Amino acid sequence: MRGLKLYYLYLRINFLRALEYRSDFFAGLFGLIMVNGVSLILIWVLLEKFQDLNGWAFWEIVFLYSLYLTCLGLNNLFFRHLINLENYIVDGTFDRFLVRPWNPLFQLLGNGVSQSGVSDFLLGLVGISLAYTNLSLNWGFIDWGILLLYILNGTVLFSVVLLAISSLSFWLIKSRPFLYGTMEIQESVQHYPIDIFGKYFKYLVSSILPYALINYYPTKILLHKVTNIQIPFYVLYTILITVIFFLLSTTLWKKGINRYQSTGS
Amino acid sequence: MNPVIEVKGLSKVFKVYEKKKGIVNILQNLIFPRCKEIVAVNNLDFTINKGEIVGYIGPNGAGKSTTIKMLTGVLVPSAGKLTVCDSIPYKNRIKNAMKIGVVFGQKSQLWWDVPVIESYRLLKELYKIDDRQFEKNLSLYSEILDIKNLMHTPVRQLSLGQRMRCDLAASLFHDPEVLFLDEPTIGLDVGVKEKLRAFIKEINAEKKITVILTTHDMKDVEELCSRIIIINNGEKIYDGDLNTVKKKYISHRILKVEFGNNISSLHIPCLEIIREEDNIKWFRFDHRKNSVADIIKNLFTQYSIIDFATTDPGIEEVVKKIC
Amino acid sequence: MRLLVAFFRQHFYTLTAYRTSFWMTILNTFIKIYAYAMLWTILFDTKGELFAITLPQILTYSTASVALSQTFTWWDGPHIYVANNVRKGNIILDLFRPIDFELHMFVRGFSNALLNFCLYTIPTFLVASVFFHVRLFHDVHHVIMFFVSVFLGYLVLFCLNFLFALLSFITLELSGYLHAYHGIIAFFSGQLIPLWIFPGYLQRILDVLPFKSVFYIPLSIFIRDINGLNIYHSMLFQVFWVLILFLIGRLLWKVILKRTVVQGG
Repeated sequence: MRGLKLYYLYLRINFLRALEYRSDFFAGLFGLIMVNGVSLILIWVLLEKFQDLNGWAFWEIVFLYSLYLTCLGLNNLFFRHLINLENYIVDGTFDRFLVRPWNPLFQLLGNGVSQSGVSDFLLGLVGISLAYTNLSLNWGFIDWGILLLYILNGTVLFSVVLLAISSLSFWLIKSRPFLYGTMEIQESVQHYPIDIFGKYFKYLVSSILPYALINYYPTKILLHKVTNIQIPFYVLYTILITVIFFLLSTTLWKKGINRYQSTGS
Repeated sequence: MNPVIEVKGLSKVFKVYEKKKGIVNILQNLIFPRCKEIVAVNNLDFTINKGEIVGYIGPNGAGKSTTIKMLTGVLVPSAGKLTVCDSIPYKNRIKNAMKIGVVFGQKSQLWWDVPVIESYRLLKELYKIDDRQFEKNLSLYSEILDIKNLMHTPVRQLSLGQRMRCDLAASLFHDPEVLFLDEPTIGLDVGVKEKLRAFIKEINAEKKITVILTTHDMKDVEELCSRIIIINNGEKIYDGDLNTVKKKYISHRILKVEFGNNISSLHIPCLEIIREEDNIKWFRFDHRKNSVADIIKNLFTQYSIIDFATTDPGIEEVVKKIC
Repeated sequence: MRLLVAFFRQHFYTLTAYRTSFWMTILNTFIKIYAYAMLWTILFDTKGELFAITLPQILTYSTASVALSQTFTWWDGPHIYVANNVRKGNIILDLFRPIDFELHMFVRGFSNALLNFCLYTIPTFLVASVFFHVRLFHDVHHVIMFFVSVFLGYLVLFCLNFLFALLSFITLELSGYLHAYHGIIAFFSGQLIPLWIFPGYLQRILDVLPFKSVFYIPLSIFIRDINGLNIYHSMLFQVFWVLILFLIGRLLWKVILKRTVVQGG
C-alpha cells in the first residue's frame, strides 16, 4: 500500500514536471499521427493494388498495427524512462536511489512519464475502434476480456524486455544502442503479419525477442484466424513467456544492483 | 559513551579492467581480461559517538567518498565490520536509510523541475514522517535556513546557495540520527557558508544529530569539527582533536606586526619574513623553540609597535604535511 | 574541397566513437532489407501478374532502396540543422560566416552522405546481394549512368531539404510538420514502393513532381526498368528539377536574408 501511494506521488511530481514543459503536445500528436499515418498508408496502397497480404486484409492489418501501438503507448507512458538508467548510473543519481528508504526499482519506475505515450495510446485505441467497425466485428465478453488481457500483458512484456535491456547498463555503460538494435524487428512485427517473414523470424519474435506476442497472436485470436481449441494454448504460452521474461529481467536487475554495490560503477 | 557508528577492519577493493590500446591488447582483453586491484579503503577502524561532529578529510582519491558510500549502504565492503545505529547498512539498506540523512554537495536530492515544497511533501511520505513532525521541522528549518520564500520556486531556478540550503533541510525532515555531508559547502560564497555552518552547529546542539563531514574547505573543519579523521591512500593517518594534530604537525606560527614607522631591516634572527604591506609585516617562527613572549618583548624594546597578533596556519598545512 | 575533407573527418570520428550504434544501424538495415524482400516475395508469389517487373528486379529495387536510404538520410539534413539552430537561437552566426550558407549546408550534408555511402550502403548492399539474388551492374555504361543519376537524385533531395529549411526561418517552428515532410519524401520519391504501384491518377501527378528524381529514377535505372534513351530523358528531368529548385532556393534565400538584416535578427 505504501508502495502504491509512493508510486502515485512520484508520478504526480512527474506530471507536474511535464506541465512545466508543456510545450507542444499537439505538435507532438500531429507528428505521431503523421508517422503512423505513413506506415498505414503504405499498407493501404499495397493492398489497394494486391487485395490481400498472405490472407490478411487492410483493416485486419490496421488492427494488428493498432494493438501494438496501444501497448507501446502504455509502455512509453509508464516505463519508457527505464532506459535512462544508464544516465543515472553515470551521473550519480543512482547513489541517491540507494540511500532512500524505498526499493530502487520503484524509484526508477516512478522517475518519469512520457507525454508521447499518451498520443500513441490514443491513436492505438482509435485504430482498434476503426478496425472493429470496418471489419464488422461483434465480440462477446470473452473477446473483450482477451483484448484487455493482451493489452495488459503486452504492456508488461514491453516493460520487462525494456528492463532487461536497461539492466545491461550495470555491466556495459551504454544500453541504449541495444534497444535501438531491436527497432527494425519491432517495426516489422508491428506493421506486418509475421508469417510472411519465414519461420525463423517467427520463432525469434515469439521467444527471444517476444514482440509478436504483443500483437500478432492476440490479433489471430480476436479476428478468428485460429481454431477455438488453439486459443487457450496461445494465451497460456503468452503468459508463460511474460512470466519468464519478468523473472529474467528482475533477476538481471538484482544481479546488476549487487554488482553496482560492489564496484560502484 | 554511546557509539553510533562502529567501523572495524573496513576495506574496499575495486577490480578494474586494464584497458590498453592496440588491436593485440584489445583482443587479448576480450578473451583474458586483465584485472588490476585498487585498494580504495584499507583496514579502517574508528568509532563515532552520538552528537559528535567529525571532519573526515584527506586529499582527492584518498577514499573519503568510498567510506561514505559504505556507511550509507550504497557500497558493500570487501572486508571488515561496520554498524550504523546498530544495523549493518548494506544488509538493512532501507532501515539504515530511515536513520540517516545524506547531502551530496554536487548533486541535489530535490526534484529539479518542481517547487521545493513538492519535493518536501514527497520526502514526507518516503520517510513516513507524520504531519506534526513535518510541520514542526518545516517551520524550524525554514526559519533558521531562511528558505520560506523559496518553497514555491522550482529547484532549477534556485541559486547554488539557495539550493544547498533547501537540500540540507530536505535531508533532515525525518530527524535522522546521523547526517552525512559530502562537500556541503563546495562552490558557495562566504556568507552562505557561514549560514550553513551556523545551522549545522545548531541542529547538532539541539537534536544531538551526529554529523560526518567531508570537505576541502578547512574553515568548515575548524569551525565545526570537534574531531577529525584524516585518511590518505585508504588508510587512517590521524584520529583526534584538531589542536593536537596542529601541535603535532605544525612547527611554526604566524606573527603579524604593525610598526609605527617604516622598517627596512629587522634584527631578530628567529623571525622569518613572509609577507609585507606598508608598515604591516607577517613573520613565521618556530613556536617550539622560541616563546612568543620573548619575541614580543624583543620587538617592543627595539621598535615602535602599533599592533600585533599571532595566528595558527590552517589545517590545510597539516593535510599537506601529512600526505 | 578542404572543407569537405574536414567535415568528412569530423563525421568519421563521431561515427567511430559510437561503435555499438554503428553495428546496430547495420543490423537494422539488414533486417529492413530482409523484411522488404520477404514482403515482395509473398506479393509476387500470390499476385505476380500485377507486377510490371520480374521478382529479381523488385528485390533488387527494394534492397538497393533500403541501402541507399542510409546515404540519403532525408530525415536528417539542412532542414534539421536549421530547425535546431533556430531553436537554440544561434542561426544568426551561420548567416554571417565567410562561406555561402547553402554551400556550407551542402558540404556538411554531402560529406556525411559520402561517408555513409562507404560505411553503410555499399557493405549492406553487397552482403545482402549474396542472400537475395540481387542483380548487379550490366556494363560500365550502366555503372556510370546509375551513379550520375544517384548524384542528381541527391542534389534534388538537397534542394528540397534546403527549401524546407528556409521555411524554418519564416515560421520558426517546424517540428510538427517534419514527419509529414519526411513521409511525403518516403512515399513520393519511390523509396518505399516503386511508383507504378500507386493508383493511376496519383501516378500521373507524381510523374511531373520532382520527388521521383530522388529514389525512383536512380533505382529504376539500376534495375534496368528504365533503359536506352529513356535514361537520358529521366536524367534531363532530374537536371531540370535541380535547376528549378536551386533557383527558387536562391531567390527565397535573398528575400529572407534581406528581411533578417532589416529586422536585425
